[in-house]
Amino acid sequence: MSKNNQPPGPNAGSQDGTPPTPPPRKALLDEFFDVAPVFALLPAAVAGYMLHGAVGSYGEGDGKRIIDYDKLRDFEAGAWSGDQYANLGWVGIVLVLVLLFVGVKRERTGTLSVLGLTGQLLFGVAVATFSIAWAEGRQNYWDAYHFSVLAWTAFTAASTAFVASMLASRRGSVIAPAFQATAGVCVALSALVWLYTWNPWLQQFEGWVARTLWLATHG
Amino acid sequence: MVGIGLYVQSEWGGELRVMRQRASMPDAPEPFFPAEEPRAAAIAGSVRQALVRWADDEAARREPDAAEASEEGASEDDATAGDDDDSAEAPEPAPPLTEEALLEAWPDLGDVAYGERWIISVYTPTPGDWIRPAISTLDGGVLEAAGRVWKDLPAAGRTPEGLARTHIKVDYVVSERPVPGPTHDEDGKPIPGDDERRDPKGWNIDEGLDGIVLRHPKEGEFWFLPSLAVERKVSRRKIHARARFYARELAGWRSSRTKKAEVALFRTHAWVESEPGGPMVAVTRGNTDVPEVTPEVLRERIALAADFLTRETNDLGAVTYEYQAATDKVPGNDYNILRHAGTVYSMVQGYRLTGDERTLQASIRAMGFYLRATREDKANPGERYVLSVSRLRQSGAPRIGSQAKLGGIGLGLCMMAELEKARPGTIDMEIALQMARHVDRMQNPDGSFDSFYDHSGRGAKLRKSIYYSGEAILGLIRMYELTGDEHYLDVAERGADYLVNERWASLGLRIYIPPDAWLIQALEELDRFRPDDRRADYAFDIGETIARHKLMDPLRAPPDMLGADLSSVGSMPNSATAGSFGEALSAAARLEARRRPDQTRFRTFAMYNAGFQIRNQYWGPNDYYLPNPERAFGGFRVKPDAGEVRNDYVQHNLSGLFGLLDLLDETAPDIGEVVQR
Repeated sequence: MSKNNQPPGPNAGSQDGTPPTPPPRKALLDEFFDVAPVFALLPAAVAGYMLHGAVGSYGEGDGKRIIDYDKLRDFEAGAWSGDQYANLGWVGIVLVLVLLFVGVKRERTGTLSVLGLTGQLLFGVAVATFSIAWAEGRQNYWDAYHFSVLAWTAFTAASTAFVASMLASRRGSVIAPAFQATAGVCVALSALVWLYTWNPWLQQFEGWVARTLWLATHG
Repeated sequence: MVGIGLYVQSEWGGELRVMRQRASMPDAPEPFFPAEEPRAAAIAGSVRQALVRWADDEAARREPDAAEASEEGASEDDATAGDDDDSAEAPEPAPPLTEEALLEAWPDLGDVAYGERWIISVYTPTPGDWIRPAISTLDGGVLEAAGRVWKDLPAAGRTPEGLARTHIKVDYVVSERPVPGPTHDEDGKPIPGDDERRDPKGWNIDEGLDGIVLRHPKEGEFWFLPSLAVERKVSRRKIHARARFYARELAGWRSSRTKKAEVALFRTHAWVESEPGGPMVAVTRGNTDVPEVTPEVLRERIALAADFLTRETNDLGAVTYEYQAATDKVPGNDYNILRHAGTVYSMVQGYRLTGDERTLQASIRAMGFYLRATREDKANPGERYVLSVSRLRQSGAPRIGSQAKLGGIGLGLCMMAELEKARPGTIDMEIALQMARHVDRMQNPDGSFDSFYDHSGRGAKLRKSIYYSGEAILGLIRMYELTGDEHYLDVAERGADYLVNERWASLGLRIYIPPDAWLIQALEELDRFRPDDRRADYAFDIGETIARHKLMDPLRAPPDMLGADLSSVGSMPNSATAGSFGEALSAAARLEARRRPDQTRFRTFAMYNAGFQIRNQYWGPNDYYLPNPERAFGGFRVKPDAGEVRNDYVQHNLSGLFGLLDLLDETAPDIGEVVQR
C-alpha cells in the first residue's frame, strides 16, 4: 500500500492503466487575462519608440535630425514623417483603451496598476513629442491632423491612466494610489490645454500672464 | 508634478529668476520723457558756442581765406553795439570766451547748482562706422567740459562744417544706486560665488535706462551713459563689461582698476538737440518722444518711408536689402524676391499718397527687377512663376535661384495690381494674368495651396509656408479689384475657407491660430465682396492672437513700449514685427468698423501699435547717434536698440500705417480700392 493515503488526483492514471485526463483548456481570453499586466507595459514601449523619434529630432546635426521632411533628406536621415507619429499615437490610444477594458474585466488589479503608470508615461511622451515638433518648426510640414492625434494620445493616455489607477485603488491595489494624483494632474493639464485652444477668457489670461512677466522683467 | 515643474522651469524659469533679482528695482524716472529744461538748453548752447568758436579759430589758422569768411560770420553773431568801423578795415577778433561771457549769453547756466551731475555728449556723424561720442562731465564749468569734449572729437567734428552736423546731448543724473560688490579681490581675481550678487547677466540693469559709473581712487570716475547701450546695441547682460571696456579704451583706465572699481547704476533725464543747433528735446532709452498718431502724422511718416525706399532703389531696380544704420554699412549681397515684391507694393502705396513721381519711377524699375526673375511655365503655357533671388550680383543684378515660391507670385500680384491701380497702363496685363493663373494651378482640390512649385520636374520642397497662402489669396483679391473677374474671388474664397476651417483644425481640435498678417488682410478685403461670418470671426481671432502678446495697456506699459510685442528677458521688442502686426491690426480695425461699428477695440490696438511703429522710424530727432542720418532718414529699424533697416521692415511698417490711415481719414486712398478696368 502506498504510503500516500491521498486519493488519486484527477490527472492520475486510472488503476486500470488508462492515460490521465487532461485538464480543461482555458479560454483564450482567460489566458490573456493571466498575463495582462505584462501587456500593460506595451504603452511604455510605444512611448519609448515615440520618444526615440522625437528626441532624435531635437537639436542640430545630421545624426540628430530624425524629423526632417525636406525632400531628398527625408529618407537619407531615416526621417520620421508626421504620419508615423500619428500612427504611433493611434496605436497608443487603442492600446490603452483595450488594456483599460481588460483591466476592468479582471478581478486582480495588476493590469490597472501598470496601466496607471504606463498611461502617464505615454502622456508625457506625447506632450514632449508635440512640444519638440512645434519647437522644431514642424508646423511647416505637419497637418493639424498630426498634432491633433498627439493631443488626443496625450489626453486618452492620461484619462485611462487616471481611471485605471482609481479603479485599482478601489480594488485594493497598494501601488495604484501613488499614481492616481499625478494621473489626475495630467488629465487636468490636458483639459486646461484643450480649454486654452478655444476659450477666450483663458487665452486672455495667458496673455495677461505673459505681459505681466514682461513688465516684471523689463523696465 | 515633476513634469509641471519642468514645464514651468523651461517656459518661465528665466523670467521668474529675473523677477526675483529685480525685486528692488526702481521704476523708470518720472516723467518718462522729461519736460523742457532751460538749464540743459543753456549747457548745450554754450558748449556749442565754444566748439564753434574753436572750430572757426582752427579753420582760420588753416586757411586764411576761410578765416575771413568765418570771422565775418562770427562778428555777426557776436555783434557789439557802437562800432561802425570802416568796412575796408579788418574786423576785430572776437573777444576770448570766458565762463562769464557764456553766462551772459546763457543766463540759465546760473541755475546749474554746485554738486549737480550734468554730462555732455557730442555726436559727430562719421559715415561708415559707429559714432564715438565725445563725453564729459560738467565738472570745472562749461568751458573746461567743452575743452575736454573738443579734444575727443574726431577731426571731422572740429570743423564748422562738421559741427553743423553734430548733435549735443545733455544728461542730468537723477538717481544712483550702488551695486553690491566687489566681484574681484585686491589682486583683481574674481571672488567665487559673488556672481549672483553682482548680476553679471544684467537683469538688474534696464538697457537704455540704466548707466554704469565706475569709481576708482586713482582713476576717478567713468560714466557709461544709459543711452549708449541702445545706441551701440549693447544688451543688458553685456553693459557692465562694456562699461569697463570703454573705461579702458576711452578713458585710458588700467584693466585691473576697472575690475576693482566701485560700481553704481544711475539713471538720467536727458535732452538732445532735435537737429544740430536746434531746440532740445527729451530723449529716454536713446529715443525721443513722438507726436500722437493722427492722420497728418501718418501721412508724414508714410511719405518719409516711401522716400527712403525710393532713395534706396538702384538703377537696376534692386532695393537695398539691409542697411545697418548704426554703422552706415550694407552687409553682404543677400536678397529676397518676396520681400522685394512686398517692398515695391508698399512703395506704390506711398506713391498713391504722395504722388511723388520719383517714387513711381523707382517702383517701375523695381517691378522690372522682379520680372527678370519670372519665367513662363513651359509645361503650362500661359502661366508664369517667379524664381527665388537670394543674392545680388556685384553689378546689383539678381542672381536667379531655383525655387519657385507661391508667396513670390502672391506678393508679385499685389505689386502689379497696386501699380496698375496707381497709374493705369504701367504693367503688362498679360503677365499679371499669367501669374494669377499660376496661383490657380497651385491650389489643391481641398482649397489648400502648395507652397513650392516643381518647375523643373526635379521635385519641390515639401514645406508648407504659413504665410504664402495668405499672400496668394490677397494677390488674387487685388486682381479681382483690378479686373472684376469673379474667378479670382472663387479661388481666393476656397483658399480662405481651407485656411479658416481646416488648416489648423482636426479631430475636433483647433491647434492654433497663426498670427498671419497677410491672411487677415485678405479676409478683410474678401469680406467686402463675399461676406462670411465665420471668416470674419477668424480674422478677429487672428487680431486677438496678435494683440494678446503686445503691450496694449497704457497704464502699465512704459510710454515708449506701448504697442510693442513681448520679447525675451534679454532683448527688446521687435519693431519690424510691429510693422506686419500693424498691417494685421489695421485690417482687423477696418473689418471692425464695418462689422462691429459700435466697437473700437482693434482700432485702439492699431493706434497703439502705430505709436510704437513711428517711434522706431528714423525721423530726425531720434537719429542723433547715426553716422549717416541722411541715409537712414525714413527707414524703420528692427528694434529700438538695433539699427538694422531691411527693405521689408520698411514695407510692413509703411503698409500698416497706410492701412490705418485708410481707416482714420476718409480722404486717404482706399487700401483695397476697386477699379475693375
